[in-house]
Amino acid sequence: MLLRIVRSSFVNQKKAMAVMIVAVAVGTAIASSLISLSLDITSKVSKELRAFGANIKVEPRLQGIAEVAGQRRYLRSEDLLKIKTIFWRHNILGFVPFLYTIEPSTGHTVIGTWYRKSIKVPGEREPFVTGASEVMPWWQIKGRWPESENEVLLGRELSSRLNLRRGDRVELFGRDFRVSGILSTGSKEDDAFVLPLEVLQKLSGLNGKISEVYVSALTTPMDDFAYKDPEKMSPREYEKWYCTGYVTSIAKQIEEVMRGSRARPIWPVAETEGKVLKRLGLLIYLLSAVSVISAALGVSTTMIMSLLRRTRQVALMKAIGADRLNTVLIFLTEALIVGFLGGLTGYLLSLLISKYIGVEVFGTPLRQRAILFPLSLGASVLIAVLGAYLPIRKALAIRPALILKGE
Amino acid sequence: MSIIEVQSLRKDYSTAAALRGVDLVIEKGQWVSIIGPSGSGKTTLLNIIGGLDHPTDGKVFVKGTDINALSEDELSVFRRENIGFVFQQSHLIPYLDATENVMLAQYFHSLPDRKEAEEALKRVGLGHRLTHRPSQLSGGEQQRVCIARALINNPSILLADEPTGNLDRTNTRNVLELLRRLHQEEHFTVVMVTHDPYVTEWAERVIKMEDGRIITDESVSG
Amino acid sequence: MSLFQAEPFLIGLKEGAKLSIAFLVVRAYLLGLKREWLLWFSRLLVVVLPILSGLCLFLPVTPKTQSYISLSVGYSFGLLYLLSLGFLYSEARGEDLFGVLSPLIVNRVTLSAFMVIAGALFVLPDLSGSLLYVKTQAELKESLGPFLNMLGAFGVSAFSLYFLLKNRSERLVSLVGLPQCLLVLALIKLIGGGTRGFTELSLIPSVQKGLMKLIHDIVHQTFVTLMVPDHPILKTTTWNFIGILFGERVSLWLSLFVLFVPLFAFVMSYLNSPVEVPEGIELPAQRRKYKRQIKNKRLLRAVPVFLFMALIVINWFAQRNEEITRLYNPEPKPVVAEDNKVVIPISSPGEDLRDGAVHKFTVDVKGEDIRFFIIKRDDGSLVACLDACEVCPPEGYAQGEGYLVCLYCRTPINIQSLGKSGGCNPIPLKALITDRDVQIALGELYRKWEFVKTKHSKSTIKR
Ligand SMILES: Nc1ncnc2c1ncn2[C@@H]1O[C@H](COP(=O)(O)OP(=O)(O)O)[C@@H](O)[C@H]1O
Ligand SMILES: [Mg+2]
Repeated sequence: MLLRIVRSSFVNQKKAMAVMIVAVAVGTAIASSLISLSLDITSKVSKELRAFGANIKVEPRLQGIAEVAGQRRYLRSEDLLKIKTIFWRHNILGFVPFLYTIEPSTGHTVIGTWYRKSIKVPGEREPFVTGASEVMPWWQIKGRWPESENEVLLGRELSSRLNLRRGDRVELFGRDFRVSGILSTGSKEDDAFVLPLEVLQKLSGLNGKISEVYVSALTTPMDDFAYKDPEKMSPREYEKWYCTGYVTSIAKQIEEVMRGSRARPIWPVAETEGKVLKRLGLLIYLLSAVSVISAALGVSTTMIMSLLRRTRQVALMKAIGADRLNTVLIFLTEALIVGFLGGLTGYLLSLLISKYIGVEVFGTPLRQRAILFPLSLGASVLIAVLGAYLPIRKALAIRPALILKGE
Repeated sequence: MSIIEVQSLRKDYSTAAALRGVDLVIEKGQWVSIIGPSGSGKTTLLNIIGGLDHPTDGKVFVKGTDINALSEDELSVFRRENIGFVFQQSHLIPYLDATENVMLAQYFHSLPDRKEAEEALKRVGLGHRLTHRPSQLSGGEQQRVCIARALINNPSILLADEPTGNLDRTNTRNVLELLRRLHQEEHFTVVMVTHDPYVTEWAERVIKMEDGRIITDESVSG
Repeated sequence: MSLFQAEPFLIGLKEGAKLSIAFLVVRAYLLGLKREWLLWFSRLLVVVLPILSGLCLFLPVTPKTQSYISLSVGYSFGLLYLLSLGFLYSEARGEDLFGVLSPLIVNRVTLSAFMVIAGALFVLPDLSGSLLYVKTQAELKESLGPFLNMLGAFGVSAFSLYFLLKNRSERLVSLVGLPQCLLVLALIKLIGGGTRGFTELSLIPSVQKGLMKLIHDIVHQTFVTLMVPDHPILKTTTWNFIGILFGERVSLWLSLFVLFVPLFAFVMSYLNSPVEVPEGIELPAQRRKYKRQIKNKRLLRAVPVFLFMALIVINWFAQRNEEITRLYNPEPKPVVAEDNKVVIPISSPGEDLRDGAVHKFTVDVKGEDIRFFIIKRDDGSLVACLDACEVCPPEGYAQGEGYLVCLYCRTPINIQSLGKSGGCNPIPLKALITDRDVQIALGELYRKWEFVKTKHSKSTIKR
């Protein structure tokens, strides 16, 4: 009987029902594709952020104090290769050595590094390609990386300060160089000359020496166990820790193979990443809440209109014995059917939307499809029930004695 | 044995008072007509007895329960188990057919039962109109559907508010004869409001109201 | 070393909650029965059974005991579920499950035996599984900390939930009959029945796996008995085609179906079965009212069943979602060897090895189910590896975006580095890769799998 009542109210008010279904569908589509986007973004952005950049920094031990005492400490070039021999060697995606020097006559910083270097790893057939181009893919060079011994790269800020451009000549360490390109990195290289590592080592007389190494490694996400102090672990725990690819355990192993080094995980990347995501997530949830609420308002007003048209019928039902539950059931069922139909439509819409967003923002369609369905249904039912709340309150307040009176 | 007992009932509206102290006792199985000019408070009294409206003051006992003390849901249960309503305008749900309109009352009461609803319509002489919509029925037929609906849950009281107000003499006569037959078969109590003296001819007791008060109350024999 | 350890603590919380909720439901049922001695008996059981399950600590912790225990968790769930279905069925039919035998069976001895069995099914496997898991942790840490954490949390959650919900549970009395009671027990097991800490919180995946294995075995046996031993007709491709039947998707829906449909059918027939109105009620309206009351009562009784179904579906979606969003871990496809080697076509109906996804296979060699996988590296070449590494217990690998993840130590593996041994990399297999297929010798598979089985626990890292 309930279904008979609800069915006829659908048949008799096709337009109102269609309006409600569309409102639910649009609200659902926006909300659910936004939420699925935010779920997806977490994995996508964190992957993109992590693909960029190093997560371990290796520097000479006791550098600070030694520097105060006037003697700089260095790492050794020949140890670099050993990074690819540790237990977790397959997880090392790349590393970049840096040598920092001061040009004696002008006081400018000169940095030596690898841009794209192919090295031979003992025991492996294919060469290992590494360098800034792999680990710091955001580096931008207008021009090209130095190819001959008398070419140098110039940081963006320094180039505007010295008013030098590509092809200009400059003197470093008493030798003539030609600027082969302008480099912008967003960090200290912007304010320096950059040379291939081996060239700088020879020029500055620091043969085989490097100041620090940045390593990019594929790591196991840190969990509670990972934060424990290895010094205090039982031997079996230590073994498990060592054999798990935490950034800390990989850093520890690098430290073991590079003489006189200290390897630290670089945390800030992960932390800022978290903050960005949190803010983004908040915004997205806010937006989806707004779309849910506005859709609910649409449903609410349409439903109230339809209720007004049916006031007499509701009053009559109450007079012949409908209690509050009966009244609620009629409108709730109506709302749920609207919600369900709207949810299905919204699901199809959100498939399209999330595909579009994925292609626009990330270049690939969003993978996360399975969750869209329950998400859409959830959102649409939420919208419908929220929207039905006010009409139901109004329907419950109808007094049959007032409505049914006379002519 | 009294089935309805009304004690010093008052109903005030912001503009005027509709009932100004009504006392009334109705016996079980009686057929009572309430007659009076328009605006004398008949409908208000009937609605209060039926639990559709609340009095400003005074008490109403139906089958011994004080219905003002009931909550809204308890009132619904009370209404659907004890009272059948027939209104002047035959209030039917327009998009349901005759049988379904009767089944609606069954549904709110307990369970819809199509066969029983059809039986009830046959008893009011509408066996040939089972699947007609209200708009396809004449006024008299509509009112007979309302009577079938009002009696489907075997109520002990039938409250009728000018049930023949919109009908011509022949139809009025038919409807009242039908009601008399059913009344004799099922022994429910009838309280019928009217302003048409012709209708009171069917009653055992006629109560005259004016200006929110009962002025005469006389039993009619036969 | 910190005193608080999250994982055993949570396991303790979970087990405590399971026990006290289960007891409350049983209590509600027994209160409705109004048999005082049964209530006392159940109180005795709820104390004795957990202590009994502590006996498992004397078992050695080997993969074998662990797998037996997790199997028994699954079986006990199945038994409880089937029992509740049986009772539900008889309630729906309005019959006594035991028919004429009922007076013989329903007496003190059999009732208490039934309670012992149901209780043991519910408590023993889960609790001992969890205890064993915590034991492995304790051995790893070489301290009793994990046990203390678990016991503490167990006590806290069991007692606090019990006293919090005790009064509320008395309102459940009208909702819980015997079938509902058993169903709730099964539900608790299904949702909280995992025994391996964070890696396995619920039983659903193992129910799914169990079903899949069952179907696989049945199909396999049928074909083996139908065909002559060396499969003259059933070529590899046919098997591969049949393999689609055991795909993740099919098993997902199938297991959902198996859990869902009987319940649904029973509930529906229960709700719709006709109501007998007793003689004395004459008026039609009164008869209808009586029917309504009976139906309302039935609806109330069906609520736990509906709840069960809703929770199954919700859990399913949650589970499914997790698998799909986080990691892709397809069920290994069974293949058969011919001429002492497995031959896997590069492209077959429904599958293309070069699509970039990990393709897992399993082959039966001398009674061992050996798992391996084939995947395309970033440079476009195919590589075959065992689904296990030298270091970890052979839990296998799943695919994330751009890397594989070891399911034991959660370490991501660079896909380009596949084919190299060492670290947590999967053990590479020598394979002959032609234009059409990938061929791997059985000997190669067997030798390396045996190596994993014997070697994995004894690694040799020194401090
Ligand atoms: N909702 C209302 N608000 C204000 N006055 C009302 C209301 N309903 C009825 N009345 C007044 O109460 C009096 C009695 O009305 P009613 O009981 O409908 O009379 P009857 O049915 O005898 O024609 C009338 O004067 C009418 O104007
Ligand atoms: Mg009137």
